[in-house]
Amino acid sequence: MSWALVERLRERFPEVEPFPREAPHEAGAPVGRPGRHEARGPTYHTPGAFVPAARLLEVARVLRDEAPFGLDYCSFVTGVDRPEQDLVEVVYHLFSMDERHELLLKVRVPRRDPRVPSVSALWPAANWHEREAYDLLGVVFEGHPDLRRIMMTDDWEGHPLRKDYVYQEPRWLVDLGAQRQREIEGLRLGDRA
Amino acid sequence: MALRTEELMLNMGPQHPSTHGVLRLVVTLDGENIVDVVPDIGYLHSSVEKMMEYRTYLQNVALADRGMDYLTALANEEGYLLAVERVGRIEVPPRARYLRTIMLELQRLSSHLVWLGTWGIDLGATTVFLYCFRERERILDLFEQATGGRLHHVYFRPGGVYEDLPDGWTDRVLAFCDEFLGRVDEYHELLTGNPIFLARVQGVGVLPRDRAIAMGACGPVARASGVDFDVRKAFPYEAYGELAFDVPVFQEGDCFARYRVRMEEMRQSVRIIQQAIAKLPDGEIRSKVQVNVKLPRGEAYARTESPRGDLGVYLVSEGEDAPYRVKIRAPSFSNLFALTEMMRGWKVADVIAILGSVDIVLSDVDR
Amino acid sequence: MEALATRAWEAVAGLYAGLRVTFRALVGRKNTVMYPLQKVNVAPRWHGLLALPVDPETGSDKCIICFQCERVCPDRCIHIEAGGKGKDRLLTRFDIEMDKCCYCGLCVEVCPTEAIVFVPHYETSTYNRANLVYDLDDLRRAAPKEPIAHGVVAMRGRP
Repeated sequence: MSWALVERLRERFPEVEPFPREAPHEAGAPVGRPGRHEARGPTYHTPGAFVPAARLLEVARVLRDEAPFGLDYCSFVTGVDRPEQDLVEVVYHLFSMDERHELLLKVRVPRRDPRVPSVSALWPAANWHEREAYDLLGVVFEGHPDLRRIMMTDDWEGHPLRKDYVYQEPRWLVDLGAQRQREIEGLRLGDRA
Repeated sequence: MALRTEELMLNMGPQHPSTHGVLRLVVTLDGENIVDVVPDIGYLHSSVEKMMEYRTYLQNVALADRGMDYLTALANEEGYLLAVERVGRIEVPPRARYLRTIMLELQRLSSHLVWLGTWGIDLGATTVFLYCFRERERILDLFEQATGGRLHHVYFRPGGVYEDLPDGWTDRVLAFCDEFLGRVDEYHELLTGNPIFLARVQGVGVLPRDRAIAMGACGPVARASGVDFDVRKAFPYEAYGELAFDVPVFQEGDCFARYRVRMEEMRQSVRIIQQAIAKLPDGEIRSKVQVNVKLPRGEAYARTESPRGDLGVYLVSEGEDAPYRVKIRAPSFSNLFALTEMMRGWKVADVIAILGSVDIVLSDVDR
Repeated sequence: MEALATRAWEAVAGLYAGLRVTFRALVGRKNTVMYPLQKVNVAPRWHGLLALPVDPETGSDKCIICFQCERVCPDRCIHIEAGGKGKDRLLTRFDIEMDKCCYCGLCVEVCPTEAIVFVPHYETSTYNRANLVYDLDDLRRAAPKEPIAHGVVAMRGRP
């Protein structure tokens, strides 16, 4: 159903690259044995397609407004950091409330300077999801009305969901913790136990 | 002489008695009218998605249980495991599917009871809280007998559930279900007939259908706005495809409609539980999955209907024993964004009524 | 005037309906427990304190030092060390940091010899955080004297 939708999208935009269809699964194949799976590419259980960043807005508008698609609901926007390919994949999940079909869109952007156009004008729901992706993965959504950090504090450094992110406690937090510890020990509560 | 007026910016929270957790609402007021609401979130951010990348698939069950919505631990486990089972093509035996369904619906009851009780307190109907928690306590006792935990169960496993039900548990659940239907009538008596309650919720905080879809509202909030969508019906998982139940949908889109959707959902949940227990098959409760299971490469987006709405987990596996990336699409997160639309134009006294009617849990919002 | 009378009647009727529920609850079953004075009984499967029961036949620990619980713990709160070789291999350290423990029960699940179990005990508060690190002696002492008849141990559905 939804894979047919991907085909329709490809007819409309030849530069859209559908996910490779899932390889037929051998019956009774053991679960949880790697090795035999490793040579294969990933299996995409949810239908979708890769879209070039330059065409994203155009594709998104067609997906939302035009007849066979009608994807009026944006479930989430997120990103997957892939340092070995030097890429960040920005993932969009779109859904149609009337037709009940869904689609994943993936946009591959360079890891050093990940920029994609914002879709929050098309789907207002994407607003916070894009802010979250910006906050945690550092993807810049161009044209976003209010691109601020949403989860972390405004002065946070780095993007935690990047694979190479290393957490460092801020100096003030370390000092505060040490001070609290001294205060607690000063109460000598343990003696009463 | 013209009177000089200016807008007032009011901070509600992060520690406000009725914000249901650590949420800060920056409300811009023109007199008593709300001009704009900007929720400030992130106080409970625990980076569950990052932590999951460093734990095995089994360990992540315990993490999904705790790191997300603390009122619906089993629904979180279900959302996570559905994605894992889809990527790993793990079969769940029929008995386990029914057990999961029963547990999920009990969880829905207990979550809705917390919502009703706390919303009652927000609106000044303090006694409803006591009645709701009385029933919730009995559900938690049932959970305790079956899973060992009251709030955090870690009961579901990849490919099934941890242990079978104790003796006589289903009878106790059925006895509770019979009594509970009468209790729902009681809540109706307390609230639906109360003119003060009606005056505070009827027609307040209207979210029209098109705006609900555009703002990403889901679950009971969307269904109160006329969006006829329930993941349990549209994409049946576990045993929902084999059980008969109705999806309550109301067109009004106000707080009262959201209230009625959840009240009706409680009745439907009881119906599901009764059917599931009647049909509960015998047999295995868990298929064989290693402790350190390694999933094949792949990715899937699995959606479930948590009590708060459309809980989705997007899981990327790279063939390791831990997920490569987990994205949790939290229903409260989307509903909280829709809240900004609902509040505009209402009075400052309605802020809490509308906020409570959306039923957000901040640990679900921030994750 | 008539509308006002209707509204007044509705208000009184609504309040009366609510009060009826209150009166029913007033004479109904009591739902509270005077907790610290009166203890609450927990279910046999209760995820409470962890304990290391002693094998009644041999009088020693059941633990075979396989480190599975240490590995599976999501919070990494179990620390095991062992000394000796072969048959004389002995536990020298089995610490559980109960302040980190999330009571998920994965360690109980993976243990092949049922050497680590939950006991239905729930009062663990203390004035000092250091007291929450339970060592080998604490865990042995916490173990039930007789085997739990229908408890977690007996009902585990491990595949």
